[in-house]
Amino acid sequence: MELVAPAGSLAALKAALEAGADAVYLGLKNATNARNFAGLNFSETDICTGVEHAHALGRKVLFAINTFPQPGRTQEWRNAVDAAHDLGADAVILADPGLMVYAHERYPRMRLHLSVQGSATHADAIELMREQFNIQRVVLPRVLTLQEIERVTRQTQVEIEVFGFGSLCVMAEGRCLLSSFATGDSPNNKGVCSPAHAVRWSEIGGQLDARLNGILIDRYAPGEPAAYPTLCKGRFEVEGRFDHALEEPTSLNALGLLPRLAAMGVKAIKVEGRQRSPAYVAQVIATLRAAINAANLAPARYVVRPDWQASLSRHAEGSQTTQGAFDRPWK
Amino acid sequence: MLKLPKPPALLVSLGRRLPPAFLSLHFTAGLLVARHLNWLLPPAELEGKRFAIDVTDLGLRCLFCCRHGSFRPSWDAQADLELSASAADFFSLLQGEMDADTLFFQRRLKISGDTELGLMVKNWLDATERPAWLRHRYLSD
Amino acid sequence: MEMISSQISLGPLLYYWPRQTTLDFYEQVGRSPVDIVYLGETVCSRRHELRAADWLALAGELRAAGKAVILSSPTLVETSTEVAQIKRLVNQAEFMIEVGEVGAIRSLAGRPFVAGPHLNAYHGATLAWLAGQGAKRFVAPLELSQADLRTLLTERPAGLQAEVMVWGRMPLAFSARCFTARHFHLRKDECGFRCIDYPDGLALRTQEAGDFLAINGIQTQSAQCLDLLEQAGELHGMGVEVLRVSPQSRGTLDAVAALHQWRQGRAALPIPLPAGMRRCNGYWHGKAGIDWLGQEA
Repeated sequence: MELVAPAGSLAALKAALEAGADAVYLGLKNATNARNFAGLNFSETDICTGVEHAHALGRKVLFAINTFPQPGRTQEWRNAVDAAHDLGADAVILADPGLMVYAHERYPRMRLHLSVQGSATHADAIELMREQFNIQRVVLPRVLTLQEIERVTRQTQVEIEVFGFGSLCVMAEGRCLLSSFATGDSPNNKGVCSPAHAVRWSEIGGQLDARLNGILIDRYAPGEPAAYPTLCKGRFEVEGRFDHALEEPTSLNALGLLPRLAAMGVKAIKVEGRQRSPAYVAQVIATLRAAINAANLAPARYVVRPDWQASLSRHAEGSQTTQGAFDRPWK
Repeated sequence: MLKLPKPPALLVSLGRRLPPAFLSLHFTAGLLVARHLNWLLPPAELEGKRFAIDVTDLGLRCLFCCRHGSFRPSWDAQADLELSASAADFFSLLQGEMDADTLFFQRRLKISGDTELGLMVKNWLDATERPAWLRHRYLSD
Repeated sequence: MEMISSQISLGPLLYYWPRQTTLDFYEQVGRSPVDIVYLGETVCSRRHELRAADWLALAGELRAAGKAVILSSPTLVETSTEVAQIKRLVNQAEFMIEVGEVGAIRSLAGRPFVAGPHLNAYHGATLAWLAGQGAKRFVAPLELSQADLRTLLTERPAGLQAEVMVWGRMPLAFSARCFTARHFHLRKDECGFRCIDYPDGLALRTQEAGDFLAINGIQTQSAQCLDLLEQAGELHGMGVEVLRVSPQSRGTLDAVAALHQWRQGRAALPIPLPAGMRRCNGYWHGKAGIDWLGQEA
């Protein structure tokens, strides 16, 4: 299994490769990718350097163009596809069929990956994209169970990539409008979720309030671990009860499932977090590298080492990790 | 993980008695040295912004602003972005050893003011490669 | 006075209403000025007050009442049961399908369909691709502003109709997890069908008691009722052929009646909203979807 690392900067890309990533995914500093955050991401010069660096080590660079071209602005997204091709990226990660038409016709030899934002949740969706655009790989949504992943893997010839660690989207990716409902900006239209410009933190007497465009998303007691004010992970009132009505701020952690994923034929494990620091990337990737090596070497004897778990837990949002939808305790 | 000793009580009380402007002058001098070593080159988005750094365990508060690409002490008590953390946590952030989000989730780093500016600063520091003398080896712990 | 050519559609029922309530509702729909009715369970494959055969029977009755009937396919497809549900829908040739997610397009194999609102058709190239697959109409993404919608309409291929949702709580997100079951500490597979007690969804408020969202099983909706009835004329002028009303427990057919009066050139009547609901239209104005810009009703 390939280990695919996030990179929000050249420093993170180098850290990822140094820690043992097989591939790094990255995006431009604009709305063409789903981590369009202030000060984050790559200039074309940086990508050029990054690609050279990765190729010198025999690793790959995957270029994410995983938002939806907005009306009248198709050219910006096509330019990004051109840049990916010209800068020597090993694959582009796309979500929008209209853009895939362009990439497939203009650069028939370019490798296309279907982004998780493309919301392909079953084999028919994936096979349609293969028949239409010859996609080589699909990133599966975080909502699928292990059983569902296994079935999809059997039913398609497209390579399967799944998330192994990082923040958890409880909603089907690519079809969530909660962020634009609260702020006007969403992953689909601006490449952001719960954008920083709409976030206000205020702490009074140790009580920390997190607001998104004025809407109270969560309120933390003094010393209580905090989380991004991602609105699906806030605490709200439903019928008089105050709770995480949608999802707890947990991180996904598939460390315990690596041999099973490998046995099913899953081709790549992806780490979320282009918005995180090189320190996060280095530590998470080094841990998963060690774990994947162990799983490859002797799958039957594979056990999750406590120090791996500790290293990942340290970086988890909400400071707790879960196997997420993989084992669906709530099903 | 790197641990700084607890600040001696004398230093803490000294920090509280020193005028903020005096501290800010020294702090920005440090930033400027870093800039001259080509290590901290602030991006254009920081231009004209006022920052406050609160080192909670030392009782220090430094105010500075970014003008013409360089850091200067600020005489304005208001800041666009205010960051508070302990000296040890600030130091590990500067080393690139600690992830700002991790510190924030654990309530060890406080951010108030313009959140997007905070994100910009965080991403700028993350993207900045540390010089060898400051760099902590990521994988050593 | 010449009648405006806009058609009025009724979107699929997103809630789980008791069987008789559902049948009574569609009986009234049959007598209403609605032109196009979308039918079927699109949210949760476990819901069974009406089964596939019941929906088909209802479709037949509504067609007999003069309505154009379209069967809507599920929005989030994960299990083999849900895949089978799509195949069943596709295997009948009597009614056109509204596609809820991209996988159903493969099963349709070139047959005509309506591209539903959750297919993310944001620009002309994607509309062209959908039309090439057989789409005859598309429902615009909810988060488009008026300006973006106008641009999108200029990019659409010839012959592809446009439909825009103008009234009802907006479906905003879909999860593998059932939030109604979660609220009752029930497992999804043994949920007790508690969503049947919430004909407009379960209200989710902020800790400051602000209306925010509504929980409808695996679907998360706006707490506010989208209200673009006043924009019907502008939508018509922009070239939108179909205006969609999404069913709520109250006011749905009043909204339909208001649109009908408008297209006949008569003044529209005020619409009663389901208890406690506020309005929103922020997306139209390029703002947060939750916002309401206009007179407080």
